[in-house]
Amino acid sequence: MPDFPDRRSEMKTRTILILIALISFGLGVHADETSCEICHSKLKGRLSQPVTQWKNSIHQQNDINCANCHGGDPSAKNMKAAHSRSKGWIGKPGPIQIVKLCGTCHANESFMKKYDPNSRTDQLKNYMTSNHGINIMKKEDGRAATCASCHGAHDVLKAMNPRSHVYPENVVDTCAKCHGDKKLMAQFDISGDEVADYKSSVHATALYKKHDLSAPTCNDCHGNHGAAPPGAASVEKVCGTCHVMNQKLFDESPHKEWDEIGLRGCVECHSNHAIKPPTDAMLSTDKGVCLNCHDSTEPAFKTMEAMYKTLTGLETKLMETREMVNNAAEKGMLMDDAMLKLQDAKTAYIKSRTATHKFSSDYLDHIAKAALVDVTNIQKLAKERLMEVTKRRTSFYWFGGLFFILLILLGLKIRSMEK
Amino acid sequence: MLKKINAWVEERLDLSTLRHLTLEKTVPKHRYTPLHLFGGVALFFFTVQIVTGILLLLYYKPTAGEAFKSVEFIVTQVPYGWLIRSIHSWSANLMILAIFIHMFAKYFLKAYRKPRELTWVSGFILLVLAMGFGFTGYLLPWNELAFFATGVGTESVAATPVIGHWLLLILRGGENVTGATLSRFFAIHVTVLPLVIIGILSIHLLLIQAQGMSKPIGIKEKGEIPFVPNFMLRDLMMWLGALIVLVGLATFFPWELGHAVDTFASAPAGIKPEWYFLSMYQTLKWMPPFFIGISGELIGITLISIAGALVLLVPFLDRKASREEKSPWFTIIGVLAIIFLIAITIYARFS
Repeated sequence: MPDFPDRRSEMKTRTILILIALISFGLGVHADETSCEICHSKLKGRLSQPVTQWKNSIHQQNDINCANCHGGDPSAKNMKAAHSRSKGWIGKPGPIQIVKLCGTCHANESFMKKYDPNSRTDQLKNYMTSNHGINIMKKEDGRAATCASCHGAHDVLKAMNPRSHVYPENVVDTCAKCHGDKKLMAQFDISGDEVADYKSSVHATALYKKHDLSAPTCNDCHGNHGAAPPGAASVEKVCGTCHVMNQKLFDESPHKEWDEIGLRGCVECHSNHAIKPPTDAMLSTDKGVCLNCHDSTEPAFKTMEAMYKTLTGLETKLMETREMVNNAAEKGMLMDDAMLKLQDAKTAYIKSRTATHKFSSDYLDHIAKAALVDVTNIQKLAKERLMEVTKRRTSFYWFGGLFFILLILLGLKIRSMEK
Repeated sequence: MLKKINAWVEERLDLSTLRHLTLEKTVPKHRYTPLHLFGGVALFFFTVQIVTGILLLLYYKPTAGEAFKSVEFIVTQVPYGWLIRSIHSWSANLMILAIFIHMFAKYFLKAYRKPRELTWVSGFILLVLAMGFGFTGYLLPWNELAFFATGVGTESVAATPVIGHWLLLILRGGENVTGATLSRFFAIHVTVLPLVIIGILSIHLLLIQAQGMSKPIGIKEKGEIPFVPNFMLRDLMMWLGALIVLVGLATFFPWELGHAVDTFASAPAGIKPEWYFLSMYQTLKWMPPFFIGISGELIGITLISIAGALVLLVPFLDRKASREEKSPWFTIIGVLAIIFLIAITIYARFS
C-alpha cells in the first residue's frame, strides 16, 4: 500500500487508478497480452491467422493461450527468446503431438471439471480405438484425422456452437474434407461417395431443410471420437437407437439372424448413406427390395405381395378420405373434428408401415385394421357433411329462385304502374 | 273492420305525418334516381344485423373460455345456426359496402349541400359507427386471427399523444388483449353501439323525411314519383336482390370460424384487418418509424383523422354547391379518392 500524505490525495490517486482500470477494460486492453499475440498479430497471412482464430475460440475464453500448446516463453520481448527450445517451444506440432497435446488437458478429469462439471474426458480413449486413432498413433500414418482435423487447430469452439466445425449442420462438411476426397479415400479402400450419398438422403433433408438437429449425421452412426464403420451385426442396433419400434419388430422377424450369414440388417433394404424416404413401392412385386433375395416361388414373395396390397389399399383410402375432408372444408363445413381424426388415422398408417418390419402379413393386417376403422369413420363423417352441403345449396336454389321470380314480378308491377 | 280500427287509432293519435308520407310524399325522378336506393339497402342490412344478432345472442357466451366454443356450437349444433352466423358476418360487410356506395353516390350528386348538411354529417357518423360495429364484432368469435388483429388494431390507439396509453387501457381493459377486452367489446357491440346508432339513424331518417330527397344540380328532371308505392316498391326490389345475394354468399361461402385463440402461440403470418380498414392499415404501414422526431404511427393517425374531418366537413367546404352551382373540383377529388381507396385496398390485400 503506497504511503499517502493525506486522506485527500489518497482519494485522488484511487480515483485515477479506478479510471485507468475502467478505460483499459473499455478499450479491451488485457494486461496479460502475450508476446505471441503482439508479434503474430502484426505479421501477415498464415502467421497472423492463428491469433485471429484463437481470439474467437473457447480456449481464449478460458485463458488457454499459445504457449500451452506450442510451448516457449510468452513473456519474452523478442522472437528468439520467445521461441526458445529451452523453454519448451515445439513450433507446429505433428499429428501424434497434436493428439497427445489435446489429451493432456481433455483426458484429465480433474482439470476439465474446473471448466465444465459435465465435461467428458473419454475422447482420447475412444480416439485410440478408432480407425483414425489407430492410423495416427499406431501406424504413424499422418494422413488420418487428428483432433485438429475436425475441431480446428486454433478456432476450436464448443460442439453445439453453430460456428463450430462439429456442429450438427457443419459436421458432414468437416468429415467431407477427407471423406469427400476420392483420391485420398481410394488409398484407404473407401469409395469416397459417402458424403454425396448422405446429402441425397432423407436424413440430410431433415437436417438441412427442416433444420432438425436430431437428424443423424456421420458421427451419430459412426461415433464421435471412436469413429469406425458399424459392423454387420451392429447396423441394426445403430439404426435402432432412433428407430426403436422398427428394430424391435425386426428382432421378432424371420430376418433376425441375418448377421449370422453376413447380411447387414437395415442396410440391405434401405442402403446406408443414401437412405431415401421409405415408400410402399419397396414391397411391390415388380421392383420391391425383397426381390434382391427372394423370387416369386418363395412364400416370402406371397407375404410381400399381401403386405403391399394392405399398405397401398390403406394409403389410397387415406388419400381419398383426405380429399373428401378437404372438399367439405372448402365448401365451408367445419371439419376440425375430422381433421383431428385424420391425424390419428395417419399415425395408424405410419404404425402399419412400421409393422412391415416383422415381415408377417397377418400382423400387418391386424395393425392396419385399426387405421381402416379410423378411415371408414372419417369417410362417413365427411359424406354426411358433403350431403349437408348439397342440402343447403338445393334449399338456396329454391329460395333464390322463388325470390328472383318475386323480384321480376315487382319490376313488372312498377313498369305497369308507371305506364 | 279496418275502418273501425283506423277510426279508433285516429281518435287517439295524430296520424297526419304518416298519411303525408303514404299519400303525398314524392321523389324526384331522373337518371340518377336508382342511386338513392343504396341508403335503403344499408338500412335493410342493418335490420338483418339486428335480427341475426339477437338470434346469435341466444347461444353466444362472451367469455374467453366459452366464446369460441359457443360460436362453434352455433355453427355445428344449433338448427340453421350456421346460416344465421354466416348471414350476420356477410351482412356486416355488405352493410358497410352499401354505406360506402350510398355515401359516394350522395357525394357525387352533391346531396350534402345546403340545407342537408346535417344529413351528411349524421350519415358520416353512421359510417364510423358501422365500422365500430365491425371492429368490435370481429373479436367476438375469439379466434386466432381476430385475437392478433385486434392486438394490432388497438395498438395504434397508443400513438395518440398524451392520452394514448390511457385509451389503450380503456379499450383493452388492461395492457394486453385478454378476456377483459372480449367482455368490453361485447358490451360495446351489443349495447353501446346499437343505442347510439339507433339515435343517429333516427335523426338521419327524420332529416330525410323532413327535407325530402335532394335534386342534383343542373339535372333534367322527368317529373316526380310517389314515395308510396312506386319508390317503396323499388326499395323492396333492391331488398329482395340484397337478400338473394346475402343468403347466396352465406350458403356458398359460409363465414370461416378459424382456430381457437392460443395466447401462447406466436402471431400467424399475414394478419390483416377487414377490407374496410385496409386503406388505414396500409397508410400506417407505409409510415416511417420516425419522421423529424415524431412517431410515424402518430403522423399516420393524424393524416387519417384529417382525411376523416375533411369528409365530415365537405358540405361546409363546397361553397359553390351550396350556391346551387356546379363544383367540378369536388367531383375530381371524389373520383381520385375512390381510385386511391380501391388501389390501396387491393394493394394491402395482396401485398
